[in-house]
Amino acid sequence: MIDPITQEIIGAALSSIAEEMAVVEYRSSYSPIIREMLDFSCGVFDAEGRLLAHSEMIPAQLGLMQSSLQQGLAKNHPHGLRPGDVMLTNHPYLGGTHTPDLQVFAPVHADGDLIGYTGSIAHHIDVGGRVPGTESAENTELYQEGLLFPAILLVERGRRVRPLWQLIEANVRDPYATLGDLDAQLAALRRGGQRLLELADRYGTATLLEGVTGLLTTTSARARAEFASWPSRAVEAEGFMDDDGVVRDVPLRIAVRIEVRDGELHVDLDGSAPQSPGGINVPWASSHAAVYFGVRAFCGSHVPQNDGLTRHVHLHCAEGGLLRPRFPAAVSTRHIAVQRLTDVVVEALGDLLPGRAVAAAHVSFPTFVIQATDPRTGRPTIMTDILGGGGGARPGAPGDAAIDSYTSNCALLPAEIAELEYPWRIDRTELVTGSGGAGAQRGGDGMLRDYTLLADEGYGIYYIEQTNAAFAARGRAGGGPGATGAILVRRAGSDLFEQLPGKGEVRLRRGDTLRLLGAGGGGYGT
Amino acid sequence: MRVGVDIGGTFTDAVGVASDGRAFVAKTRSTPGDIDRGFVDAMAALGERSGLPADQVAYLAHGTTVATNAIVEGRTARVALVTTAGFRDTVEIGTQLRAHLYDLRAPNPPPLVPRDLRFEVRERIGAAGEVVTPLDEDEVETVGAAIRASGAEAIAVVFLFSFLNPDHEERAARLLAANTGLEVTRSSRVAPELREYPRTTTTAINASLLPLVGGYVRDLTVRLAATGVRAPLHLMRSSGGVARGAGAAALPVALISSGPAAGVIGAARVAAAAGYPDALTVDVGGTTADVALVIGGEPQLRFRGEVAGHPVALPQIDVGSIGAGGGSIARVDAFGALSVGPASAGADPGPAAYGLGGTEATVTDAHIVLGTLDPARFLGGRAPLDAALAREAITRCVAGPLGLTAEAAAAAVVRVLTANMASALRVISVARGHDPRRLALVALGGAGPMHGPAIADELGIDRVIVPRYPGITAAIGLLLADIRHDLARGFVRVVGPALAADLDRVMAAVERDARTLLDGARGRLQWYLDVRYRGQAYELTVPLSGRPASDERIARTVRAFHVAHRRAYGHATPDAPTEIVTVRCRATVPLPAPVIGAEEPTPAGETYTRPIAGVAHRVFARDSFRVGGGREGPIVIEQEDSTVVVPPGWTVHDAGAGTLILERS
Repeated sequence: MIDPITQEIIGAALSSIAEEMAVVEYRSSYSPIIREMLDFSCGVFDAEGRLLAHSEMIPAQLGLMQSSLQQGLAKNHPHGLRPGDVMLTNHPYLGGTHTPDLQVFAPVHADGDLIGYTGSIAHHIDVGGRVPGTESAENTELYQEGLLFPAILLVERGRRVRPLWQLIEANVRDPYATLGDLDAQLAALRRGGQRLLELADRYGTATLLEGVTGLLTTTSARARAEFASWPSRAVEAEGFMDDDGVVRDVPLRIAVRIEVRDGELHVDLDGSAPQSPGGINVPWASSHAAVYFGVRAFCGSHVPQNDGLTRHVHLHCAEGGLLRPRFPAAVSTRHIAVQRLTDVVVEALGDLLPGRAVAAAHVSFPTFVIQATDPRTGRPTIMTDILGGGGGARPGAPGDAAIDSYTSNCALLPAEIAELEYPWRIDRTELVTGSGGAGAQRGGDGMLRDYTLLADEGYGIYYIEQTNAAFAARGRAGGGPGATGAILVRRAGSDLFEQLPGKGEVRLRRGDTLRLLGAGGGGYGT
Repeated sequence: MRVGVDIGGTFTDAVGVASDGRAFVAKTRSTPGDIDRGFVDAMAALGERSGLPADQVAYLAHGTTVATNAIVEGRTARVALVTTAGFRDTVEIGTQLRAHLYDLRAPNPPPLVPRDLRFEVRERIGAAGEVVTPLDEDEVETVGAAIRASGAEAIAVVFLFSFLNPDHEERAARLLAANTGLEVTRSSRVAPELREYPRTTTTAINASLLPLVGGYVRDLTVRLAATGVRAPLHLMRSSGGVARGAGAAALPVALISSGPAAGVIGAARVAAAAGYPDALTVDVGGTTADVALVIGGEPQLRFRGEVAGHPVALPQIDVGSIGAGGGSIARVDAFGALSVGPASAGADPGPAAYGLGGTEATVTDAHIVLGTLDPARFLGGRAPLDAALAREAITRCVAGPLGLTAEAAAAAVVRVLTANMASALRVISVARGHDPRRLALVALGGAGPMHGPAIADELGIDRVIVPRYPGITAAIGLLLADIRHDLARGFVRVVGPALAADLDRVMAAVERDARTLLDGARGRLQWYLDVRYRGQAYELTVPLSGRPASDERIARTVRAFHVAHRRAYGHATPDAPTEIVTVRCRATVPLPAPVIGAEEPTPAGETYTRPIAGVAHRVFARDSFRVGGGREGPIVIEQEDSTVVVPPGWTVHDAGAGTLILERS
């Protein structure tokens, strides 16, 4: 029987492994979306594919890899992976998220026995499809969203499956970055595998496996005790998306009902909108990630993020909903719906546990992906950026200005990186003062950034939420709402910025300026 | 006599080495309210012990926490920040990442400069260093007037792409200085590197420290002169080199890790002298453990760090710091999980055994229960500890909740602490591509040598080096450091033909700056390039063999880059295009290292045995300890500033100059 001290030490070592994998990955990756904006995660799993430890980069990917790993193995590798194999998957209907999130998994064997898996998920800048960057709210079926990898081998027995790499190279818009980023992901897997083997070597495989099981059991006990301490009444909350980008200005409802019963958390999403004809639908695994974030934020750090926690969180939603779409509904811009779902979960849990509640953060998530040929090099480029907005005020402190909120945690692209690597000039990057909600503690201010195109022409997509004042970040305890967000364009030669519809495609010419404006956060108290 | 004075939060350590090799040590209490006085006190104590008057001090080096403390305690100057129009909020927006991902109640750190002290001027340099919008000098004048009215005490100027073309920054800085009479820091001088946010924070921090640190160095120089010290003052920088007082005061942001850097330099030199140029160092004090990696006798550097949540883009010794030390508090939560640190009982109330009112169990209390520490002899018997209070705290806080005996609980506390320190050491070695099993471990700090062998066991290390004075290695490191200046210049170019001439032009400019800093001293210049694969964001710093830059020299650097990339990340792509981002130059003036002579051990006192965790250990006093041809554990060697434990299965050897080497038998 493993002693509790050794078990704690093994648990901490597993977290260090996930963090070290993450460092290897972002420092050697190529796409700004990974290396600057940190839209990726690494994880360590047990031999059953249960998550043991997770790098803390972007919560939107919480728990996701576990469902992809388990479903991918069950579907295509019922006898397991062999040493040296790497499985590649990105299928939204096979436990995955949207197609640009490429997930890779490698088994770790000690003396021939499977002891676990290492995994990496990263948002690639483009995996082909109808539009640059693959994402669009106006995609109407999954087949427009680029390459689908249904849990197939990227590396077999240590050898790259060359036809697959060639296929990827031929089908994505920035193959240099995509293949380089896949290399970085493989490097992370290798590093994690080495570390896991060293751990097995240090403690003995049997002790390591006992420690792993003990970690999940202990986490499970912590999670149940935590949930049992919560009031056993049901709470409900709702929020709305501006629209789905296909049918303009028709809001979509997102609703949750949360109830604790016998130390288990039940989350019912059935009050939410039916699935959309566009790309805003949320794959079932991403709906889980949104709920997991809210749960984690209200549990506190004494409950580690692993399968021991998530096995006590039960989501319910009938198939065919926005939050559990039917194949082959498009899902590429699911993130804005994920953020709104998180917002509603945080609102509901704040009502259940008022002592831990804060005002709402913005979930506007202004972003664009635009392709343009750089006149300096003659090469096509795909530029993307994600802007923050205001955080929610707390009882004892104002909201943070200019943050990416909740399940998202993407860094801003440095202006100097943007101008060096892309044919754009960043004219300004500013706080929008006064955009945070009023209150005893003010909500955090939103921000704006102006991008002027220096290439002859650019084409791509953009999207944003919270352009409708009715759906701005809510205040709490009498605090006021945050200001709205917007995406605007100023055509070359004009002085006027015109607001664009919240989601769409855009063509720009040299000298045109795109303005992204992230919404403010809610205020607290009066 | 050559003198090093390291001023920490609690103690001031002074070391003097006379020309005949005799070493003198003085440990005095720091005087946070009047730091100069503590410095002078320490010098006086050293003078007393050595019998050498102040005018016999030939060299004086100083490690200081004055910069760090000012930042942590918010005692820095009010800075006015002047930026490119449209970018005054960069200092607050930062990366837009949250400091606390899952804690919605915990705010981000406040911005370094409040919005009403952030000013903009029209100007723009483009990504090729070209002028896009000329500097609007009238607007600079207007901003200068506004700054005068604002009550700001220092100015930071940060323009976009100034690392490629500093002309606008230089002109604006000159105008603002003339206009306001305030000291002006410009980013192209402090941190001429890509990425506007870390460059902004580094520049703003430097500006905010200038008045305070400048005043400190001036006052100290005057006060020392008054006591008869004629040697010029040198200050230790985060990079591990020293600089003359006035020069160091002009770049105070480089002093942030002065103390820890001195400790690593001391450890690195001791290890190299003992024949181990490749080593890990662990410096365990009361609250934190600092860890570092030394390769080829040189502490490894990093080029990005942070202070109080703000990035600092300057070369600094890559010191990892975790909350683990003698004062670290051990707690058991409701689910039976034992944690040790990062919370610390500090020096006041300190561990329960201090009897100053501390009720929580600490690592020191655990060591008293285990027998590692003899409560009667702590700090040479000057501050006896209360063993009953230590046992009571361990029993109540750890043993009771875990259902263990006090001894087993104490052992568990030490095990968790050891695992934490080993994990920090793994981060700076394994995660950087270095196998700790091929390294020696240098154990320093008051609490380092008692944990050294256990940490070595965790990492598979066979050899632990313990310096003669483990508790004051930083003060010794001050005497072993060279004068050093680190220069950098942004130079963003894909490696290809027709690069060498442009590169050499930049190098020539950097060399001129280096010669100015060296001020006539004959220094050695070492060149480095930050290289990455085109499209990557994180560079690796690799040596360039010198000037003039040539295709062949660049090619050699690029080959070294592929090797370094493979070492760091496990893969390399030799046929992929590479890109240079920054040119670096390190200018070094070697200083004579004092040689500490061999000591004659004092006559051996009575030895006795003491059980540690139930195993009888022979106990020796350091001053009278004779290693002879090696002694096998289990033994304990006690000295005023530390306790060395040689466990069963380990043998201790003499490595000269008072250094002990513990080896697995």
